[in-house]
Amino acid sequence: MTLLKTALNGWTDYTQHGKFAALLLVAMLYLGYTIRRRNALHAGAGSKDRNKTTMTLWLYTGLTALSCICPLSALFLMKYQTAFYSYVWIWAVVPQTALIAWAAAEFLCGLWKKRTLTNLMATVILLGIVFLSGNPVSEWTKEQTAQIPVMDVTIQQNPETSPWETLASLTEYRLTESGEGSFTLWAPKEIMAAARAYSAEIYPVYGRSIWDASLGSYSYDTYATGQEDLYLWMSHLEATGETEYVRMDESTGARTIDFADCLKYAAEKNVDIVLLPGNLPEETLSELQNTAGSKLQPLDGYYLLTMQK
Amino acid sequence: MTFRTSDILIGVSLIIIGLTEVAHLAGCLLGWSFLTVMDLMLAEIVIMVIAAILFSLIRHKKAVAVIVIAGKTAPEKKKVLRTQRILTGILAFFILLQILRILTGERAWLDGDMTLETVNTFLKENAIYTVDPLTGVPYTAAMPLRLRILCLPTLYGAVCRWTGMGAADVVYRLIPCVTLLLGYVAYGRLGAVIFGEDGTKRKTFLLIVGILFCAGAYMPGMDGFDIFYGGFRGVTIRAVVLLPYLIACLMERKYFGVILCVLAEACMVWTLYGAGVCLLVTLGWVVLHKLLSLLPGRRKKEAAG
Repeated sequence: MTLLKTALNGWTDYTQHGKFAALLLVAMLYLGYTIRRRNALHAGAGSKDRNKTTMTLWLYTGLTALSCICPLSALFLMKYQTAFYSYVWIWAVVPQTALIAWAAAEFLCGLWKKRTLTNLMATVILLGIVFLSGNPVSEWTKEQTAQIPVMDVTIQQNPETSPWETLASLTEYRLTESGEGSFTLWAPKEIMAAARAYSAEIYPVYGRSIWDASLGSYSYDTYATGQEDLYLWMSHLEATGETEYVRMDESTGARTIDFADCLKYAAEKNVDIVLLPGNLPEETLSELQNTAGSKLQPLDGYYLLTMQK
Repeated sequence: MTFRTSDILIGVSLIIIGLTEVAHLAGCLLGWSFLTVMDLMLAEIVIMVIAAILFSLIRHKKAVAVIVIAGKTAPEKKKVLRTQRILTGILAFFILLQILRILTGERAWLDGDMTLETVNTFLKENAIYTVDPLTGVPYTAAMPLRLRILCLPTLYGAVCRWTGMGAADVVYRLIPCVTLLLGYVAYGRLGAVIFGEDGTKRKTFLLIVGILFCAGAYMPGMDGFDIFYGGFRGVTIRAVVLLPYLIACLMERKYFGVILCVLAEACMVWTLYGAGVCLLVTLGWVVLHKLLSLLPGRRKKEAAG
């Protein structure tokens, strides 16, 4: 049922952020007109076989695009693609880029036969339309992606400390303090997300799959309740600055998780380093320090707590 | 059968993926260490290179013999038009800019992907999928076989070891650049099939493809976005390299290339037991082609011709 819903709403979502689908339909119409009018797409080439194959490409693209738009065939395609991939991935069967580029090349080369100012203007306008039909610098694009380390040779323009830099500082701190490079970590989401990508010497107490459901298919293993508690408590602290989180559970009902519970579970899991968000109010900070029984140390915009073994 | 540079480049890349898959499966199923898997890969590649050299020598000898018998001379190079030269220049500049964009990029699309974590874990543990790449803890249940057989992390790990580059640089910079370049090769091949000898149209086609890559970087599933933010993913290689090359092969009825694409997809992307997009496209294409041949008007025309 969920899959059918996705298939029904998929087309609307797909056309919301950019207009390549519309561009594809225009390209289809233009190529169809060209094929019909000239009965051969390649002036002077005259190859029957090539005309047949290009006609097949045109028809194939049209039919597959139609299959992606029609919910029932879209549903079949999604099922075929293991049902794990979302709606957009069924568009992989449609050679969109190829067909749009083919139509544009045909149109432009037709224009360039006569080198006039009007044709030059038309070229610029067409290229503008092609470029503007995408939306490559939107905020939404940024939301879909995560920060990665910059190359050494590039100048970093982002003044904020990236999770990768924090992890580097953390590793250095750990090496200085205990002489060991590897450690078990519990930290806010962005640090936990980058930990294993930064180094396989860091063992996060839970992985990215705890919040990224699409990663769940990579393992049959599931997280223990305690690990989920750590994640939920840390996310709550980061979002609200509150030290207590009420977890609603169907089996156990409402349950309050506090820092002391989390520290106890973290100790069971052999956590070496705890990193807490840096934007905490004074009173929260002192409450956390009291519970931990030691002073929290600032590090790259976070608060660091070394677990005593 | 004629081979072009594009065929060779893409063919070799796909064969390397196949060889990696063999070594990766050995590591996965027989529990070989990552270093042993790399040794096997290296041996496979050496054998492939020797076989390729022998094959090309035999072909060259045969081709020379045919030319001598037929008294042919080497064909004259066609005069390249000024427009084409300008288009080539713009295209080269454009590709360079895109490579720079990948090299200096600060963001990647990581949802549902753990390639870098997996590469790091393989290198550190010297083993393939013994621990969960996201936590570093040994699996209590297991990893599904359908995902365990995908070989790209092994290939990237091997590149890290051979080049000495960091895993992040290989995964987020080097591989997307290679994917981009192979994508242009694949689209170039498709352009050659669509436009034949018309160099201006072929280059315009590639230029528009490049513009579409840049403009289309707005959501996952679009070629541009996949290349610039996730060029290391199997789905990107499929979309940008395999599918255009597959369509070119289908248009030219080069079924060896088609088979390579279908198999390569099965090695890189989670499919329905190997029945991925390439196979579906192939089936759809063949059926459509047959149906078009059966059309009454077309048959009459062909009979008259």
